[in-house]
Amino acid sequence: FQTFKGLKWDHHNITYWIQNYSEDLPRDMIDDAFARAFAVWGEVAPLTFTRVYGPEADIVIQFGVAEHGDGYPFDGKDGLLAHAFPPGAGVQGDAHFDDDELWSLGKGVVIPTYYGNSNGAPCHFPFTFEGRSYSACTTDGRNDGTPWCSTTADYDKDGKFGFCPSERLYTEHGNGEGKPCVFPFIFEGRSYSACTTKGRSDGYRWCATTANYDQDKLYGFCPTRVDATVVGGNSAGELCVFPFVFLGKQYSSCTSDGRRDGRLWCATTSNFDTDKKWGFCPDQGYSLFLVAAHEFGHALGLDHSSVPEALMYPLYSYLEGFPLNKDDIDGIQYLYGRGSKPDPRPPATTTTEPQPTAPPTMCPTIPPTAYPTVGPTVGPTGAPSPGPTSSPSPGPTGAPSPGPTAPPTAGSSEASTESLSPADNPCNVDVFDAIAEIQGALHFFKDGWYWKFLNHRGSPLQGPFLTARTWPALPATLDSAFEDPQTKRVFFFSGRQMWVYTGKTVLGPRSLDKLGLGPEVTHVSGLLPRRLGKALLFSKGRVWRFDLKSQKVDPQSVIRVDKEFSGVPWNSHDIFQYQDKAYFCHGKFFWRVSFQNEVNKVDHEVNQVDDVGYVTYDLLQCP
Amino acid sequence: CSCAPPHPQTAFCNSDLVIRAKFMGSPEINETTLYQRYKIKMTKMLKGFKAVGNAADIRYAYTPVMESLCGYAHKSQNRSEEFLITGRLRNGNLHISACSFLVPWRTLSPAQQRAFSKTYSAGCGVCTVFPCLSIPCKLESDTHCLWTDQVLVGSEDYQSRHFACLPRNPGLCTWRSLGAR
Repeated sequence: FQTFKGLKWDHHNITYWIQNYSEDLPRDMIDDAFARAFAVWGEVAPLTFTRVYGPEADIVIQFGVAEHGDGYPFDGKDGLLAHAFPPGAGVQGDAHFDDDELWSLGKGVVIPTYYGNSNGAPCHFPFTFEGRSYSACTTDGRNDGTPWCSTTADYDKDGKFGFCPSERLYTEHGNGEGKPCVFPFIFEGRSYSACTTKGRSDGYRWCATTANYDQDKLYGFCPTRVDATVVGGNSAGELCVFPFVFLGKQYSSCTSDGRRDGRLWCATTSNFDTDKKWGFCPDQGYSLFLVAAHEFGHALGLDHSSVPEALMYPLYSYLEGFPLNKDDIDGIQYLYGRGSKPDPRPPATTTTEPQPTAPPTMCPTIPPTAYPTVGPTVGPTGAPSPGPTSSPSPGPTGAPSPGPTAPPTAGSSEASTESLSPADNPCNVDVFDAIAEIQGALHFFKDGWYWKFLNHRGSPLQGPFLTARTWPALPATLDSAFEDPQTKRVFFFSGRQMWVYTGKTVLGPRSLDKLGLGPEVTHVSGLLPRRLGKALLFSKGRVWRFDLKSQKVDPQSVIRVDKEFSGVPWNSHDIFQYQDKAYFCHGKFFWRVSFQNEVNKVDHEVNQVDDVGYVTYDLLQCP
Repeated sequence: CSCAPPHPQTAFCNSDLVIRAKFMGSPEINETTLYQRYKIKMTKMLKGFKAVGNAADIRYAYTPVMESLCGYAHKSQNRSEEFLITGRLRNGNLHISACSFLVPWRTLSPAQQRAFSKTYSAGCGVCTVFPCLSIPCKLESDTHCLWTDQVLVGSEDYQSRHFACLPRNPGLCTWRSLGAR
């Protein structure tokens, strides 16, 4: 760690003032992110942090863009994210955040929901509704204009939903008691049918909570909808308006049309051609909590650390759990001492990724009736027409109380009731031995067992089954498996050996020598089908063309994987094809590759990584 | 000061100036503005000819004094070591920061050195390196390339060092191996 020559606060009860807000997150989430960021330091040093409401605070927190008054301008999106002054009076000790960034909790936009049937769980983007994919809240399926979202990936299947923050449900702050907006309302003699920033210099969107503001002077601020709030452009903080017209064409989602850099944007009025108002659409964003914890480190007297794992290292990286490294703790305790608290706690696990901890009662022969067994309670049209209990027009008692104090309860592990040992639950497996699509079902192999994943509604997962019962010749540990899509022969690989099953008949083991693969090939990490009885055979960053009939590789064909599949980890394991896309696994993650034809070149494909996800959560649909 | 992780191609495209230069000693501090400037000796310009002219000689690099305000602190004492410097132009001056992509030239692979001299520019304004900071991470546009070094522990900047995000078809960008050309 480094300090500013030992510069520090002369008192231990530090005050802070949140001078303004970003539109990227609900305000109480911003308050909470800052409070948690201070608490990180308060946990390991005898410091207390009190929120005050005025410039006399030790640490003034501000969002700003470009030149924001201190002579050290921000630089637009990315690059510099935030900066802070070391302890002292005036601007010293202050922390500034670049509001051209998208501020989130680090994993994309967070939209809490209200009412509905999901207990406030956040929206799940993208979600499917009537077969269409949505990456933002929508009013489709409703005729009252209230935006809603699904809180699981598939509304059609699960029917779980909630309403998105909306001025039609409630307003914030102001003097209108949180009542919803009344549209249209009159302000300075003009009629408004949507929230407006008129009459304010700070750009916050507001509305009247009665039909006439001029008369009643009752108002509230409109809730932020981060999924559609734009960043940068000339309308930062405003909402995308869908559909909008651009060059005479209608757009109902963000687009990169008209831009040479491929970034996604939308118009913030219904017609870009006439109004020219626009901004960038949100992406994953940076965790306000993590960046704030780093900046508050500066504000408390810590300079940058040269330890890459330390929070005070200047490069942002997303991590879950307690963010301080030993180096950070040594630094803050060098300045302020240890305090009376016991030693710093070990990294806390967060609740964001549920880890099913099921009792170890082994009963592998009984196929578990796997999780989300959601009955088709929702009719085929599936329109979110909530019953009276979940009406979006709350009575006076039903004041919406959003906020991070009500943690999303999404993804609770329903499977854990199935009394499987952790080893029996594929959702607890980090790295599978082999994954392959066989007879239309994705097969996941691990330690002599396998599961079948059918892309069905209802219970998609079957197993575990004993590998040796289905394919008796196979060893317990496999490296890869592959079904020839034409002959339906199934190839299995383990170390330097291969087995080929035709129905119940097995050939093998054959040595990889017979395939034309020398001893330097210690294992086969997967195959991808190609046309005309060929496949691509992968091993350790190299790929061969493999003839499925003669079962020999073409020795001349060997190339490095990145020549044809760039953007995937070079040392991928478990390489397979599923639903016409190639998957390359590394650790817990997969890289999905889609194929497009190259223009002007016959029979030549362009491979593009279009998705990176968790094998368990995103492919196996683990809760 | 917090910095977004810079992919070298993004750094190249987002910079007004990209040069190779040597640092000629300790910085001079301006006590009123709390900026400091490093005397540098430019050995080659790689980007910025239009902005400053072909014959321009960049002699100073400006940066805030404080690291917490994203000031760049030069650690090497070696005056003969050549650095790759990416920076912005403000009032005709080269500004650098703690977030600038600024590394010893010799630490770049030959392929990357070639990329800074030539290849990266083909992707500027057309293709976007999209950083995957958390998982899942989905492609939002065909002109994006998903950059996953951050989520792959022990990747040793595999994608940064070996790939550029380049146009392939109209409206389609993909990673291309820098070694392949």
